[in-house]
Amino acid sequence: MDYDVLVIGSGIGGMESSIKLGDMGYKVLLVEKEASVGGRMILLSKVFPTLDCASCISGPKMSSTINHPNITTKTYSEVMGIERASDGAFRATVKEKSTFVDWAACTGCSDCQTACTVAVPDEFNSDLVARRAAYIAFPQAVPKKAVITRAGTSPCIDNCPAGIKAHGYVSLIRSGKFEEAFQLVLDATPLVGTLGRACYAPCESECTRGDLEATIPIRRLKRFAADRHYAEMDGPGIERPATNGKSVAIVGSGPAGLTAAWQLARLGYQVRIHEAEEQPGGFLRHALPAYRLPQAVVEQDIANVTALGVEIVTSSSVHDLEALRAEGYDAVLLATGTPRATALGVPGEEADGVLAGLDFLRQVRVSDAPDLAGKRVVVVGGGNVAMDTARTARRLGALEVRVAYRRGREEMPAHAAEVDDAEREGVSFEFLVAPVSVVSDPTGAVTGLRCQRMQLGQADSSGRRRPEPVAGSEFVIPCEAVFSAIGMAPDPTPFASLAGAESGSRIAVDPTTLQTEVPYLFAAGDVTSGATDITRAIGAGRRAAYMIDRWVQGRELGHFPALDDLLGVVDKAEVLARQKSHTRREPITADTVLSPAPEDFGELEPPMTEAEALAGAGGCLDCGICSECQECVSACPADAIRFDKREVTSEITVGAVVVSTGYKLFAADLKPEYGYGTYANVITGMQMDRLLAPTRPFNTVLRPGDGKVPERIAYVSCTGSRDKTSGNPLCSKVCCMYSVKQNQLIMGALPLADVTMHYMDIRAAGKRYNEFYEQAKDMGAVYIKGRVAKITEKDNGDLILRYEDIENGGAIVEAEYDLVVLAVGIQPNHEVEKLFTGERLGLDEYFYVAEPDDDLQPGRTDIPGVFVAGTAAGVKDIVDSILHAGAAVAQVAAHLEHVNHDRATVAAEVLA
Amino acid sequence: MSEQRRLGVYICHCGGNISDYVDVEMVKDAFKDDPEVVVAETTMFACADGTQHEMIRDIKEKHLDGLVVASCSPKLHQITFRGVAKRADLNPYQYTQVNVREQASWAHTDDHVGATEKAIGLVRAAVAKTKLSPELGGWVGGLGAMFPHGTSGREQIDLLVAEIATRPSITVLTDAELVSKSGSFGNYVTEVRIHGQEEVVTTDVGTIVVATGFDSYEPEAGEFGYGMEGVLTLPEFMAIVDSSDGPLTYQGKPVRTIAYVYCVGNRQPAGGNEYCSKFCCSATVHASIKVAARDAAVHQYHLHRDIRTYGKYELMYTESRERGSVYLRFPDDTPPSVARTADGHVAVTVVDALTGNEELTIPADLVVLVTGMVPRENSDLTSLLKLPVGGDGFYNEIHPKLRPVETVVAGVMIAGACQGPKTLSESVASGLAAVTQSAGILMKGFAELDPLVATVDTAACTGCTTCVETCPYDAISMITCEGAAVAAISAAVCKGCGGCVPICAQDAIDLLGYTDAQMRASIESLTKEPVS
Amino acid sequence: MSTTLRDPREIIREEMVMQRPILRLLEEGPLTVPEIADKLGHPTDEVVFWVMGMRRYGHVVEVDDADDDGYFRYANAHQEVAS
Repeated sequence: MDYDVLVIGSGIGGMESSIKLGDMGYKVLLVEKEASVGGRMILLSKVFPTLDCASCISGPKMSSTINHPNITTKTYSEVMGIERASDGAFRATVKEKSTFVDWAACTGCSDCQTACTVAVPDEFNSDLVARRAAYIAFPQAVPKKAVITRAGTSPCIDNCPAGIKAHGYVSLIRSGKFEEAFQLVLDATPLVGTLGRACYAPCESECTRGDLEATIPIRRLKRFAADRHYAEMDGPGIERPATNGKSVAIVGSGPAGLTAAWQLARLGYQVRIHEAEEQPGGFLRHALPAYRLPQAVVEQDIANVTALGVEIVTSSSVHDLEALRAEGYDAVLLATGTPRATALGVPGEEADGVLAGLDFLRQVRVSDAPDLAGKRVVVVGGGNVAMDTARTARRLGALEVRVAYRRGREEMPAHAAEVDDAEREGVSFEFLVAPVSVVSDPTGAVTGLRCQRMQLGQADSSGRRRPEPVAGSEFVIPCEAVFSAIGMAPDPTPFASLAGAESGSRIAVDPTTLQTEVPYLFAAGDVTSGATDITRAIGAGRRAAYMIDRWVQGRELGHFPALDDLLGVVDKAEVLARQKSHTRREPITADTVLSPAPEDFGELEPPMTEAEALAGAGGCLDCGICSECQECVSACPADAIRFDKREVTSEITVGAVVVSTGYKLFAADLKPEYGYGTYANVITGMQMDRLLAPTRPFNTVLRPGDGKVPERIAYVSCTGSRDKTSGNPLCSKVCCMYSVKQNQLIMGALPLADVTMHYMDIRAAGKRYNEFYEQAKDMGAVYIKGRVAKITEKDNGDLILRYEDIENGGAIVEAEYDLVVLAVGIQPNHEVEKLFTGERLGLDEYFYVAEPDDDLQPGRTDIPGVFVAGTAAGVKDIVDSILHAGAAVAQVAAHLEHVNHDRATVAAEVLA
Repeated sequence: MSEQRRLGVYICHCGGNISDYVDVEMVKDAFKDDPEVVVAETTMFACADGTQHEMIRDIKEKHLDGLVVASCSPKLHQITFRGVAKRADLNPYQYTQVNVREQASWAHTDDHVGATEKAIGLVRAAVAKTKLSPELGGWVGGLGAMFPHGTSGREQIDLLVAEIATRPSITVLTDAELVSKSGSFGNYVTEVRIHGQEEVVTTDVGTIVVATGFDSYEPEAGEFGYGMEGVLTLPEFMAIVDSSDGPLTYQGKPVRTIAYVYCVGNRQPAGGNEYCSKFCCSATVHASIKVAARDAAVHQYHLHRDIRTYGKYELMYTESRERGSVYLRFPDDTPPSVARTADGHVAVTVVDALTGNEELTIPADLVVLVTGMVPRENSDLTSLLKLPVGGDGFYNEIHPKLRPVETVVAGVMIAGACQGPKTLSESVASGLAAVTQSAGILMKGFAELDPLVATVDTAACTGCTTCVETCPYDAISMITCEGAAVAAISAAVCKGCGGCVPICAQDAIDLLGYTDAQMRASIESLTKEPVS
Repeated sequence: MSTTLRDPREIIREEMVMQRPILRLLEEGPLTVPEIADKLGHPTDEVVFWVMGMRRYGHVVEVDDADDDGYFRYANAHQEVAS
């Protein structure tokens, strides 16, 4: 038996039960689903009829509970699967949800919540005000520890191959923290500016806002942050870290190599990159055209890397990796990409004028471009390189540029936007066409490309339909240049004899660790996978650096947390369902101006203005709630934030169970005639209690519609109770009293205010309750009998209540107030049904936990050994709950003593 | 307590051992005119299994609340017939065994007439004694179907009493009163005097639970017509309703119209009973349902200020109206009045808010004054236990919200209606809460005391006993120390109030935490610096 | 006040964007909620959410008592306020 008793729920019923059982010497496990114990009572202002401060009397109970030697309290945890075993004991599963904060280190200082950039409604203040995703439930929380609300990983972060916290930097930009946004991306890769232009933005494909008007412009926001940063300073803006005495050699300075170098340098490694070309950057410099990615941006990004002391040796090809290693490096990373263009493989391709697209683009970048003025160009291929080649050819004066692709437009691997832009720049397309041979003149110059028509047959291994030649369909496209862009592959020379290869030219690596067969040799990027894209290469570079570091330090390689161990992605439907309606926002679009005859290589896409950036970022729905912006991590003085924490599930066995799961409040918008949710100045009783409490959300009692101090306040009793139309014919017992209590408190807090309560019966029945009611009348509160039929609103936010004035002749009266409080009643907490498996916990016809003999056996449920305390069994005020808990505890003790006394006999009785 | 007993009397032949000498039929006939003897039978062998079954059947079917068996010696079969009572859910202590075998028939085998007379006398005495057998159960024991489930109060009490009987750790003393208590919580010594006995029963107990209940409000003569024929309090009305199953009659005549006047003796202005008795709205509404269920033609008018059928009881309010009860609300400051009509009926005149404050006069066969609970007169117990009493006269708990069953006297709990008006289920819950409170103290086996208590310097004490009389908690007693009588303060009982400190002429008492030296130093510091 | 209220979650989320414009407005001196709403061109109920959220985390603070119409003025808490 792990514990004698499991108590579920730590409101006053649960705490009282736990304390009394603990006092008797029983070992109690108390499980609470919120971060703090205390239930509803701690949120109240004062309690009736004594007007004790709720915090003041709850606080000691909460403290006694958490410090009691016989009570183990698990907050932010849930119970499920309770099942009675054959010996009468109970097995249950306890899930301790992750707070993402190390509570042993957390001091409750609140710096994290002040720094947090995500604002969400505060459920502990009945949604009257914001809290933050990182929060402490309320100032008197027990335990007073921070929690980070995470619904899961936001879809944008989940879909990023580089593991960049897209939601994080969007949230930072939204908060005006542009430099922090830049730094957040820098945490992943130095190529901030590059990605801001050239990333294909898989994040935007998954953005939940895309299911509304349009995706958040995540990529352009990254560019905005980069532009801002580089306008202020060169380099990364971070200190160069101390060296750790180790060194790594990297071959290749493309996105994978640069990112790996950056990450290793941040860890203190001495890094040297060998680059075969004369300038670093790989395809960033030598393939992507400047109108998409300006040189200056690439250079700024590379400057981040060199600022940390990374050496880049250019014009330095490496063929012997072992020799490189022997120079004294602790590890070597191969990141040479896919420099080899796939040849056309047709007769005549040696003709003058036939060039690989990649080679063409490189020539343009090193200012060695062929003269295309007046020439007709055919580009063979359908990927991004083909589009870059075609659009570059246009800019070099080609008369005509035709792209010949063997499948259809929908099957093109190029990004759709690239294809559209190419078309707008005057590139034409020949679909379902494949080259047969190059036609050249006797001088060997190209005069045309013989092609044949294709049709789509069955799907091949990539899932795309295989193109099949149409017999007898050959034709010639006249042209003076043929650029092939049908594929690219790695150069296997450096590693062919050393490490294994796959698919002929890719180096073989473990997909998780990126380690090759040779332990000191790692590989990242397209050299391992074939052609992919910049972002995937960056992700691979990050992974490789992490793995190299672990290997050099002699640690187990394992997973790469930033990409492999993310929290499960959030469900988009669930995100959208959080709001009743979404207001349409005008999408922020780039309005790029494209010319049908482009002439220069100037950057095409305009930058965002600050207003556009804020408007763009402002639409973010905060899918995962916490944006992972890391501001809390920076702010926490105790280093207590732990994003890698996960929920912990355990199985327990107990002798008895006490269900004290409390109640829900009636959702007042279910009575539309009262206008809650439609009129800003109609609030619920709970909201008013919050406004009156010392830890109130506003500076005093103010009406939410405009912050005015109210002067004419109306109460509408029986909202959602004694009401068949709301589905609840029962009386909720406490609302008359809490309303009368609030009436008294308002007259104290707002001496000029008039308070009127519209009621059916004033149910002030308990000890000292009627005297309390008389006192409220003496203080000047007015009580009018007559149910309120309807509430309407005036232009200034005031409300009109329509009611029958029963005690004064029954006329229909309309009275004006500036604030209306709906005395909402109590509803059962249906979640209690989910607790038990096997034997179901019986509920009565109103869905409260059933007590088969509530007269003589209060606290007993229909499952022997399971007891109920408090409002889970029906409406109660605080005193009722405490007495009920006392009764339930007596039952628990009797049960346990009975069971202990004679297990065998009792087990038979219990099961009978 | 219920008014009318329902006894069963069985006279045993004992297979001739009795009937050969005592005319058992005559003994049986001696009770035919006693309205409180509902069953009188003779039987061949009372102890036979078949006869026991018949007795159980009679008890259940005829709702007997007492049993007399005239047979052999209790030494032989008292336990047998107590068992019969228990199996029939009858309090086994409502059973009396009369020995007419050893004491009548066998003692007077030569005088049949005399033996018979003696037997009759003995059985009459037993019947008289059984009628007065003290009942457990309080008010509920006398009630029929109670709200909200319609379970009989009598049956519920019998159930509880039967449960008590099965537990050897529970000792029941009836007709008994607590007359003295000493010691401290966890270690009390109590003395109980049983009515009519000389010696007290002394017991060591750990905690004391006071569950002395309530009294019903007794209106003044003339208050809402009380004293007139047909004007009843709520308990009086309940007794009538519970005494039969058919349509309601009063003094032989059918009841056609009932007017209920709510809040009599409650919600009175300052100086009177300002409190609400909480249960009465629900009880009255429920009673009107019982009445209407038996006779849908009865007119019932409820004259009220608020109907306080809270929580699930609201469903009864709805049902009552659906069954025809009419509810009239009168203004707080214009209560109804009750008067005799010309034709001898009673009538209630009321200002009805629901018809525009019209004044209505309702002639009724019965006017029920819905009277609530008042604190029971118990001044001896109150002063013995030093129980604090609230402004409403009920016992005061330490904290009305958080500590509803504890009193300032450690180890003394209050439960049930003596703390304030409540329903049956609320009373049961509070009783169990008092159990929990007691268990918390007792199961631990020890308690941590507050160290800020008063102490006596025995060297300085002259034994004048002034402090002993001063202490409001009886925490001080005299002991002998080195031959002299000196005062000793019990740390477990002392509340640290400090009342004894200034009383001691010898300055022999100090309050730890607030010693004379500490207080002097505080005063000196306070007065040293000028407060600017 | 008779325009349809936006969902509170949406309004509250926007506090992060509205903080800076509101603080800029308050640089000239403390303002009431209606005054802020008027200058921002947003409904007063939305401004209440933003101002109270900002107040909670120390960006604005109320000054003096409410005026005769019942409105408090809120000041930029990051400024030295000469009251």
